[in-house]
Amino acid sequence: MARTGPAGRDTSRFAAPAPRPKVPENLAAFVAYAYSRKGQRVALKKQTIASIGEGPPPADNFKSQIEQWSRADVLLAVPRQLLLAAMPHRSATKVWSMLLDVCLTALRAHPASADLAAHLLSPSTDDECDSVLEQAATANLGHLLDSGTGKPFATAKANALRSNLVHTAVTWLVAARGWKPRLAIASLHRHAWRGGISVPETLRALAEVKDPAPLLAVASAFVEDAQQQRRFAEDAHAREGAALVRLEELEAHASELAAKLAEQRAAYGALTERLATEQREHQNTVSHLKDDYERLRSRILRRLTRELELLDEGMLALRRDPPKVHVMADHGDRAIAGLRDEIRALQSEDSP
Amino acid sequence: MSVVGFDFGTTNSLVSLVRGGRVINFFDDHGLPTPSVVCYEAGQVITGRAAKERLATAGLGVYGNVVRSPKVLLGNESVFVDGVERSVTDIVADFLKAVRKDATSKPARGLKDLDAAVVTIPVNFDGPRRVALRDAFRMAGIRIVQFVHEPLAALYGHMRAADDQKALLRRFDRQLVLVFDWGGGTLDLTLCRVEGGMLLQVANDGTDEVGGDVFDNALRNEVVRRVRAERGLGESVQPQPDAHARLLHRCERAKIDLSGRDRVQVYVDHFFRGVENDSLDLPLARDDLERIVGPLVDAGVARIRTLLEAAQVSPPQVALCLATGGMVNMPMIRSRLHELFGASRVHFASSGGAAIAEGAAWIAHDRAGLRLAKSVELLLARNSHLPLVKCGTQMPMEGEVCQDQWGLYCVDPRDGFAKMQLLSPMRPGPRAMPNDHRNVLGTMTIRVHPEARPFLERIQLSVEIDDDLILSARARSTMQGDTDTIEVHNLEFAVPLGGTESKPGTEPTIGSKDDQLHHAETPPRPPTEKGAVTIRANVADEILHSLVPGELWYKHHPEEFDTRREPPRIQVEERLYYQPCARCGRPINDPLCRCGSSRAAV
Repeated sequence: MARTGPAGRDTSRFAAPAPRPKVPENLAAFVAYAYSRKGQRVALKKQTIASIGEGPPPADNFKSQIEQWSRADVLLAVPRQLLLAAMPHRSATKVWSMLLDVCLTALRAHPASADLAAHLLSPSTDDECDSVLEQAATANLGHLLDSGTGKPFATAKANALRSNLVHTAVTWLVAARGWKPRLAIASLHRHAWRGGISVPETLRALAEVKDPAPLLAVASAFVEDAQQQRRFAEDAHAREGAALVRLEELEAHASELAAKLAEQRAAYGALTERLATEQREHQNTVSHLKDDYERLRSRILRRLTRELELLDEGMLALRRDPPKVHVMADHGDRAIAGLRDEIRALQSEDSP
Repeated sequence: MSVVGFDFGTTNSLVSLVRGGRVINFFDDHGLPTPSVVCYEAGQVITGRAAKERLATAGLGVYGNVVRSPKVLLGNESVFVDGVERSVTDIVADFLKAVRKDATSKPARGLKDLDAAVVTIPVNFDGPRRVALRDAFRMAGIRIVQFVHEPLAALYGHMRAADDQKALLRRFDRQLVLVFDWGGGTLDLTLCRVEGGMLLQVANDGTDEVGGDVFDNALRNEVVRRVRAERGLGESVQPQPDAHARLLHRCERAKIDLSGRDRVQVYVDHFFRGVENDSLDLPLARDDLERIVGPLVDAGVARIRTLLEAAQVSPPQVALCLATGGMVNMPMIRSRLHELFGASRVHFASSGGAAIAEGAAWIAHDRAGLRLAKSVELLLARNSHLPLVKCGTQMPMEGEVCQDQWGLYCVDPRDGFAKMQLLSPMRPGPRAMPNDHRNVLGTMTIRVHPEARPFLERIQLSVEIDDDLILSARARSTMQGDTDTIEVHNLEFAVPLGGTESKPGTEPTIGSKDDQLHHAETPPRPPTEKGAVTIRANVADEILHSLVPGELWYKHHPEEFDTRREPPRIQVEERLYYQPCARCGRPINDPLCRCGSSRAAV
């Protein structure tokens, strides 16, 4: 966990811009006052708020002056104090807006926060705020040079600068973008408070804490988060149980439907088979009936043809001169006998 | 796809199909089987009854542009029909195409296409004719699933169509059944044995000398002769051109009518040319008919006696005589059969001329594959038998061939030949005994090295049976390289009734060599059919010294004849009997040897 204490205040190289009045009378004076405090806590009194709100707008060179002060604030310790001082007075819209402009100008002017400043205005969701904070926590500060020594920052100073950058960003996102503190703390825990310390150091740090409020806030946030996660888990567990019950019901229903389907399929198969059998039997019956008909038809036809031939021949014999009556008699007898045989056969077939 | 039964008969042909447990016969428009007649007229092919009506004479073969019964011409390359040389196979194919077209033209009767058939053949239909018939069917677009003998098909159909098939089988189990198929063109006889649900052929016979058409022809000739004699008409009076055809038709009708009445009047108008009374008018009594055709009937019935004698069966041993074919409706033939077998044992098939086709249709329906009724054996040295194809072997279906090979040894190569004979027991069934009578199926003789020692010359024997039911055997001597081949066409078959499987004991296995008949100890020579030439086989399927003639074995191994080794008695006797004369070198029993010890003693 990164240290959150007031470390990193560079007092040796911080040049005060002007003599500090007792009560700042306008915005420029208040900002100057804040920068003169070199990162220490500042407060915005009602009188100052009234003066700023009712007073004239800042001078034209105020922005360049802020940029100058910001570049002098090597460890970026002041903008966060300005925001913290203004947060209780967000109802004073004009003052709040002016101070946000001042902070934004200072952040844009500072080399460590110049890139980040562009992203501070855009986040609208919790995830976007988290992403901006991650960007601040992982910003590359290696290229920055200490204005005092002209060399890269020492580790302690670099840590202080990164801490101020992260906390300025958190303060901005909570104050200006409405990010929930609980989520901000969780995000800080994920992105900024990395690294661990030994148990004795932890105990020592806890023992040396003079103001337990931050710890309380962090702990409260974590407790609240844990409770919420627990609620989520319980809710998910309940939903899982309900889903399992529902799943079992659905599986039972599916089994029932599968059984019904198999039953229906079996019935369909049996019906199909029966239909095929019936069709086959029907075709067989048709074939048999057709065969019976053909047999009977051809038999009758053959009989009639044969007897007709006999009678025809007998008639030829009868027409001869002299007529051959005996031939006609023979052929007639044979034809009649044949027809009688056929009639008898038909009658015997008719009887069951 | 439906497989039909196809009776391609000598005089009539018929297609039958079993559908819904009943046989449907595809008769022609007259309700009769299609006459097997083809006529080539003005570039057209006329078949069936229309072609038959153009015939003026009975008999089989080519008459002008009409071919009657092209089946009997099968085996010839070609014939001249009205001066045009035509392939016999093409003629048969033309007829088959017409039958096929006619049968499939009535789809309502259940036959949408005809592309496969069980085809019946006469029992004396030899191998080359079967091959030609298969080709003709193929040209007509019909596959022959299998051949089956006509009488066997008739018997199968009779048994299969019975109301109580099992009772019929029980009644005739292990009994003999004679199938008597007397059709318009041929008389076919088959003696069968019913055994274990199988119908086994025992003996076959067939002839086309006493077909129904011959009866009609004889009757026609006698009628003309009598009319000429009564009216004193000389040979100068000729009949009208179509008169003989018309008279033949009237004679056929008279023959049928005389089955039910005693007398008919044969009358043909405008029969003669150049006489005042040109009609032919003759009363014909049944007695006259019986006198005219009596010799033919006697000849037909005599075939039965001959067949039974050849099979060593007396008529009382025949439990059933199944009479089929159109001719059995003649009272004379019926009475003869009754005299021979007794009225109770003669059954006249109700389906008449359709019995064979119906039987084939049942066989096709039941998919009852043919089996071999009798084993095919190889005669080995010392009269033992090697079963080559066992009884009950499933015969190959369409496109199949079953084959096997054996390695044999020549036990006595002194005459330079290995002699082998294929035999078949006269009695069907799997239990042929060594002393059973056997028929000779064929003999093979191949050259072997005469100087070779016994068992040195090896012989490769391969046997195969194709889907035309032709058994081919080929033997080759390995040293001399000589080969000999024979074909056997007259195998006898069995068919399981109702498609039932044969008993496990008769399960077909071609090439099994574990038969109990194999190498019986010096059995006596089994009797063979009369007139058959038997040989002294000199091959063996294993190296067994006792199979070698004694004198030959002594020549190579005299030490084996030491009495302490107890040589086989037969070999000792052979050695002593065939011991050559010490002086002249002739065998001791040679009459030309005059210096033998016996003569010297005299």
